[in-house]
Formats: sequence, C-alpha cells, structure tokens
Amino acid sequence: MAPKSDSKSKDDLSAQVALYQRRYERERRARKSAEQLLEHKSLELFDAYKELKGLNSSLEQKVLQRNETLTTLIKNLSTGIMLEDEHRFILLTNDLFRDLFKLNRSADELIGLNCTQVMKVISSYFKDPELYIESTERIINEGVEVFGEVLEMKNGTVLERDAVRIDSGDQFYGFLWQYKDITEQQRTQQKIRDSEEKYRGIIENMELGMLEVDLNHNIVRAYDWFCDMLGYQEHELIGKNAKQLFLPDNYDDLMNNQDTLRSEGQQSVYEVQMKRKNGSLIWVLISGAPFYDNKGNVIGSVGIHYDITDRKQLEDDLLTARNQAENAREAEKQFLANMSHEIRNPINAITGLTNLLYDTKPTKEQLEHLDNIKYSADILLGLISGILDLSKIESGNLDFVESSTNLKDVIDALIQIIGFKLEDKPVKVLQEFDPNIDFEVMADSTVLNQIFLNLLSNASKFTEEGEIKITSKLLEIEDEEALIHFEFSDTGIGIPEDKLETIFQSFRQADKETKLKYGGTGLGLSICRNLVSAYGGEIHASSMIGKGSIFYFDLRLKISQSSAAVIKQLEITSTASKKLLVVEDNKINQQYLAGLLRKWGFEYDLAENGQIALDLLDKNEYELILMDIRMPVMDGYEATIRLRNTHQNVNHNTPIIALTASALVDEKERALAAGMNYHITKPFTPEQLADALGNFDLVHQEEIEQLVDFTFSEELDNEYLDEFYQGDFERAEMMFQIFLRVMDKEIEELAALKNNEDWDAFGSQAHKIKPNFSMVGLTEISEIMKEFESAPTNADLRRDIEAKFNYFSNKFEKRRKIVETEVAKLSHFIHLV
Amino acid sequence: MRGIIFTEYLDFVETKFGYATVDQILTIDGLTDEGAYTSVGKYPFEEIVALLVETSSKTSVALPNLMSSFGEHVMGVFYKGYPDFFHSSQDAFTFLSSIEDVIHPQVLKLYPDAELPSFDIKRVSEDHLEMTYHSVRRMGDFAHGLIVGCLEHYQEKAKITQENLSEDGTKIRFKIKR
Repeated sequence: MAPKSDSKSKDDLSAQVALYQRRYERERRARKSAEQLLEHKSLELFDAYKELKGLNSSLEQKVLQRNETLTTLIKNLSTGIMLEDEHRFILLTNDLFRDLFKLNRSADELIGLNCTQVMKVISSYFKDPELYIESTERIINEGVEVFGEVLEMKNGTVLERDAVRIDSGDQFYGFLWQYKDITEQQRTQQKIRDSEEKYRGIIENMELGMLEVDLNHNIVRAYDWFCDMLGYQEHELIGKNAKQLFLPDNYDDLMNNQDTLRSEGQQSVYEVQMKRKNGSLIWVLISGAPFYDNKGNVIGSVGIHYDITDRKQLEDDLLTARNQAENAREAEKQFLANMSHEIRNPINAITGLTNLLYDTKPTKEQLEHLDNIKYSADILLGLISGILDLSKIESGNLDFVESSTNLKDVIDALIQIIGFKLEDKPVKVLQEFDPNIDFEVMADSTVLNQIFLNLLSNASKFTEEGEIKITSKLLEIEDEEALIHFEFSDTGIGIPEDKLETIFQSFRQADKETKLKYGGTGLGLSICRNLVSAYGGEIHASSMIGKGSIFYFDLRLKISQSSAAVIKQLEITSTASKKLLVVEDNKINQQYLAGLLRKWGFEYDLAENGQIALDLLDKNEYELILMDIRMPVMDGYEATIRLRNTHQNVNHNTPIIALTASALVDEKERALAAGMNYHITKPFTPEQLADALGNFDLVHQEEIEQLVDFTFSEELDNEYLDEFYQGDFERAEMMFQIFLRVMDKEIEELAALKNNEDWDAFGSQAHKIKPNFSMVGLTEISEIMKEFESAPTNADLRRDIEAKFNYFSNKFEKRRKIVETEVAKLSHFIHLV
Repeated sequence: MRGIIFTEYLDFVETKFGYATVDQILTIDGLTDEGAYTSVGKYPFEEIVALLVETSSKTSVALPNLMSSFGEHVMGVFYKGYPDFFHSSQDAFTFLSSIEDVIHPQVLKLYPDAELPSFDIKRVSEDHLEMTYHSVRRMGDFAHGLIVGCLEHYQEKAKITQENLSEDGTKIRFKIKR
C-alpha cells in the first residue's frame, strides 16, 4: 500500500518524505505509548497476581481450619455421625458412630469404605435389620431428608436417626447421617407417662373428675370420672364450652373471678352447681389450677371436680335441724323463764296464805291439811327453782358475778341455816377451816351458797344422828389463785357404791325408797355438779352404807386483791343537766335506786310501769331512763319499742339502761334488740350503777386511793398494837415471830421460879416478860404479869399462886394460837405489800 | 473508547483514501497524542466522532455511508481476531441473534468498563430478523455496516431496512429480510 509518488517532482518528493516522517513519528509515539501502557498493565497484573496469591493462601488456610473445626466438631458430637458422598462412599465419621455399631475400625479408617457394605454390617445390630436396610435405601433412592426416625436396637438402645441431604446449588454431594441415643430420654418420657397415668388413675379412683379447658373454657380433655359425673361421653365434650354447657347463668361473676386468678397463675377452690346431661343439677367442689405451655404461658386450666351433692343435702338438713333445735330451745328457755315468774308467784301466794291460815286457829284436821299444803308447795317451789337453775347452768347462760367473798363467813352463815333445818335431831354441825385461808376469794357468792347449801341440805336430810362436818383446806397458791379443797361429810345412811355416779344425774336419787322416805326433787346434786364444773372443779362422793357419806371437790379461786394494802374508794357525783326517769315497779328497788341517785346529786322521776313512763316521757325531757323489764300493765320491752318508734318525742333517742332480774344472757340481748342501750343485772352494786351511768358521761367518778392498815385480830388488843407499831407491820411480824420463839422458855423459867418459891426472882421475871405480851396484843396477860410482879410483897398472891398460875397457863395456851394465826396473816400481808 | 477502534479506523481510512487523508484528518486540534493512537489505549468517544466528521468533509463521502463502510470493515477485523464466535454460528441470523446474549457478555469479561450498545432481537420468521438498537452513542449507521459485514461473511443476501424510532438516533430498528 505504498502511496502514490511522483519522483519527478522534488516538492512532491519532499512532501512525501515529510508525510512518512510524520507517519513514522506517529507510529513511534503510538508504540511508546503502547509500551508504556503495557508496562503499566503488566505491573498491575503482577500486583493483582501477588494479591491473588496471598488471598489464595489465606483462603486455603481458612478452609483448612474450617475443615479441622468441622471434623473435630463432628468427631466430638454426642451423636453418631456419618457423612457419605454421592457415590455412597464414607467421607467422614466419628468415634461415637463406630462405638454405636461396634465397628472394629477407627473413625479415620472407615473413610472411603462403601456405605452399602457398612450398612449391611450395621443392620445386624437392629431389632429388625430388614426394616433398617429398607428404610435407608428408600431415603437414598428417593433422595429425601428424614428427621427423627426412631430405630430400636437389639440391645434395647433406642436411636433417633436424621438423614440430611447435602446440596450446593444444583449439585448433590451426598447424605449426612446422624444417630442419636435417646434410650434415656425415652425411658424418662415413659416414666413421666407412667407417673401421669398413675396419678390420673389415683385421682379417678378417688372419685375426682378431671377436666382440662383452654383459656376460652373450651374442653380439651375430659377424664372418665368427670364424664360419668355429668353423664357424658368424652367425645361429646371435646371442643364444647364448659362454662356454657355446665354452669347455670348465675356463675358469671364467680367464673370471671376465677379466670383472673388463673391468669395470675393462682389456684383456688370453689363450689358451684353443674348441669348434668339429663338436666339435673349437682353440687361440685372444684379445685382449679392454671396449666402452662413450655414457655411458661398460661394456656388453660385444669379442674378437679368432687361431687358434694350429698354433703350439701346433709348440710341443708343439718341447718334445718339446727334451726328447729334452736327454735325449740328458744321456746324452752322462754317457757322456763316464764315458769319461774308465773309459777313461783302463785306458789308463794299459796305458802304465804297457808302461813296466814295457821294463825286462824284451825282444827286438828285442818292443821293436818295445812301441813300437807305447805309441804307440797315447798316441794313444788324447790322443783321449779331447781329446774330453772339447771336450765341456766346447762345452757351456759349463767353470768357469774364475782365479788370478794369471805369463805368462812359464807360457811358460818350456812351452818346457822342448816341448824334450823336439823331442828331437834341429835346432829352436830362442825367446821374445820384452814387458818391459812386468811384471804378473801373472788367468787359468785350466790353460786357458792347454792353448792354448799345443797350439800348441807342433803347431809342434814339423810343424817338422823351424829355429825355433819365441813372441811376447807388450802392446797396451794399459784399465780394469785388458791386451790382449795372442800369436803362435806356426814354420818347419815350412806349411798350404795353402784349409785355413787347416778346420784349426780338430774331427777335421780339412790333409789325409789329414798324418794318416798326423804322426798326431794333429785335435782340438788345435779345442780351441784354442774356449778362445781362451771367453776372448773369436779365433785366426787364416797360412802359406806350405814356409816355416812363424803362429798368433796377442789376449786381454784382467785385471791381477792381487796385484802391487799390499797383499796380504791369512789366518790361519785352527778354531771347530768336534766332529770333521770326511773321505771321500776318493785318498791324496795325503787327506794334503793332513789337513795343512790339522791346521794350522787341526781334529780329523777319515778314510774311504776311502762305506761306511766310513756306518759311522763311525753311531758318531760329526760337525760336517761333506767328501765325495769318485767312490770305490770306494760313491760320494759314494750315501753322501749314504743318510745323508739315515736319519732316526734323529745326523748326518742334518750339512752335507756335495762335493769334485768335474770342472769340469762338472752334477756340482755333482747333488751338491746328492743332498743335499750345498756344493761345491768339486779341486784347491782352502787359501783355497777355508777359505771353504767358513766357510760353515758353522767357521773363524775373520783378514785380515792386509801392505804389500808393491816387490821389486827379483834381477839388481840388492836388499839394498843396499832399505836405501838404505827403501821410498821414488818416490825410487828418480826416481834410476833420472836415472841413465839422465846416465850415458852421464859414461861418455863417463870414456872421454875414459882416452884422454888424464889419470889424476888419470880417478880423480876414477870416484870421482864410483861412487855412481850403487850407487844403481841395480849394486854390481859400483860396485866397478869403486872400482878405477878408484886409477888415478893403480896402474900395474898403467893397463897393463891397455883390457881392464878394455872389460869395464866390456860389463857396463854389459848391466846398463843391466835398469835400464831396472826403471824401467818402478817407474813401474808407483808408479801402482798 | 477502545484504542483498537481508532487504529482500525485509521487503517480503514488509509485503505479507502490513502495515508495522505489519514495525515490530513489527524491534523485537527485536540486529538490525544496528536493522533498517535495505539490499539491497547483508551480514548474519548468525541475524538472518533471528530475524525469521522473530518474524513467525511475531506473526502465528500456522506457520514452515514462512511460509518456503515467502517462497520463492514470492523466486522472483518472481528472475524480475524475472534473467529470462534463465527464458527459457533451456522448463519448470519444465528450470529446476529447471539450478539446480545453471547458476544457482549464475553466482551465485558475482557473489558469490564466497555460501554456497549444493547439490541432487542426478534426473530419474526425464518427469513426475517428484527434488531432494535439502543445506544446514547448514536452509532446506528456503524451497526448497519456491521450487519452488512456479517451477511457478507456468511455469503448471504438480505435486504436491510433502517427505521429511526427516536429523532436523536439513540433507538433504531433494523429489519433484515432474506
């Protein structure tokens, strides 16, 4: 492709040359530029190569590491692993795989072996080798993954097999087999299943019906007993709404409450009625508890149902029976209360009028009739009183009113009473009272009187001659309480041994003849036993026929603190601005109340019954009303109810204190129910009345504490003693003790001097010991000593000395006992202070 | 644009019009290295356009014809350089149909920064192929030359009609009927 040229033209030629030169120049520059570019490229290539090489080796390293890690991981996996390639050659396996199938090559040695052959060896370890081969081949042929296939081995081991396909893009690289030993897991699961079955069995056998529901109360599972209980088959219940199906409408609130508890994870027990399939209702006690999924969310609840229909029926029956019994008891109480009031009055009239008739000079025959009337009336009165007492005690409606009581005084008074009863029977009544009981006790004296009198009456009734003896003995003092033993013995007819228990039962006497011969209601001992046990004691009897009987019991009684050094006296003054109204029909009570109220500075009006009270209440405004219950014309209940219902009356809300005569708790409750505000039982002490008024801020009570001196026995010269000791009772006790310790010796010496007729010494000795007698309050003996002092000069005395000395000795012996008692009292007093 | 296009263009101009023309067009201002192009280099697209315009004005050959002729020439060069592509196709239509899916991907492997046109290929019938050209370079005439060169290579005769689908020449449909 040479350019056209014209050699002839020099210009042409030189132009040609210049063209070529330019071409050459361009070519050269293009080459240079190409070379430069290529050199640059080659450098780039070299760098790229270097970079690639580095990358390659680092990747190789990584792959190697990864391989190592995977291999180690697989080898150490707690599952048997076998990786095979697409041609079924082993690529990788681990020791556990080898161990599972007892292969005698190491995991590394297994690499490269053909799986089909290995599988044949392995299959012999399975319970069903053919099934194993078949299953494995199916997986290989179909190329599907299988997870969690359970295979049982001959040695009992249970394996779980996973077959994982290894693919990369479209390329299939083989299978990874994983064998996991789940024997223990299966065993545990079996155990759980067994245990669940066991407890379910127990619950079902205990006649407890179990029901599982989801959060919407739809039934998930109903157990046999539950189905039986409600008359369904399980398949009829699954998926149904338990609330709608079983519960009557009125349980919505209760169930919402239960749902809340369940959602808070709480369990609870409740009673509901449930509808059976046949429409009948049963009562069921349900113990409901939430149950959870494995993430701890509440997914429903399980209820254990117990059929309590029978129990409910029984409860209803019992309630009805109880109501009936209570009504009957109420009627009985009412009857008894009325009887005491309604019957005692006529009987009292009979006895009273009979007494009057005795004074009308009756004929002998009339006198006999009168005796019979009086006898019968007395019997009847005793019977009524006994029944009333017993009913009070047995119903537990007895309010004990305890006050400081001197036991000896109580018994002394009873001995006097019983003396009259014995009339002219040759029977002595004796008392042996423990001097250590030198304190008063807190007791209801009425109750004590009743116990003692009943026993004494019994003794006097059955004793024709001999003695009746009352023994009181202090057994112990503990925590301000004294345990005292009481014994009532007689020399009467005695009680057969086999009757010793029956005599304490109501209306029972030892035998019929007793009743015929001695009369009586047969209630006395029963009342005694009840009263003693109300005081926490137990009465017993022992007896010998013809010789007599002994009744004995121990009572634990609080020691009254009023015998302590300090007594509290109250000064009571009225703070009322208006009058009080006293509604009371009994004249004596009227006077008693009036006296107290006057003394305290109250003004008052009196009303004889409820009607008069209401009239007065219409006219005047009162501060407070004292209301008796049982009154003629209109009783206290009615008056109260009428007043409380008259809203326009100024006294509509005036406080009312009920004055009830009965210790029955009921009467108190009825008074309050009628609208009265407070209650006190007659007879009441001034303090009790003041306290009652104090509840309505109507009195000002000022407590004046007074130190009470120890009072020396009246048998001693207490005036002298008070002056001598000036309230220093410790010194007194000490002096009394010394006196008892030394005096015998001193008197012996005095006697010896007398016998020796050493009159000077005798006189001196008498002078010496004279003050000792004064110091213990034996002033009269001190006087004798004063006389003996004159022996040296008094011839008359010396002549009569034997008689005088005897008189002295006897007197001292008697007085000495008093001093002994006084020492004991002083010690006790000092300890109290 | 790849240097080989520049060196092949200069060869084409020399063959057609003589080196003097090459010398003339290379005198225009602003050419890289004053036109000392090398096939392994890379030069701005504007320079080939300037060379084509300059050639057309110096030789009075219309630009579309010039570009088409250059296309024919380049097809020949392709064959010499990469005969395998041609061997794997039995006829022109098969080869043309494979440009988008086979040849261009291979080109991109060698020159990842190559800016290639794209073709929508539609085989309307056995003897009718439709190729729609898309390129911001507006080298539709050059593409026409390539198609002609291809037909020549397979010694086939066909009628090529060219239809502008956009005014700026960035989208052109070729209908090739045998």
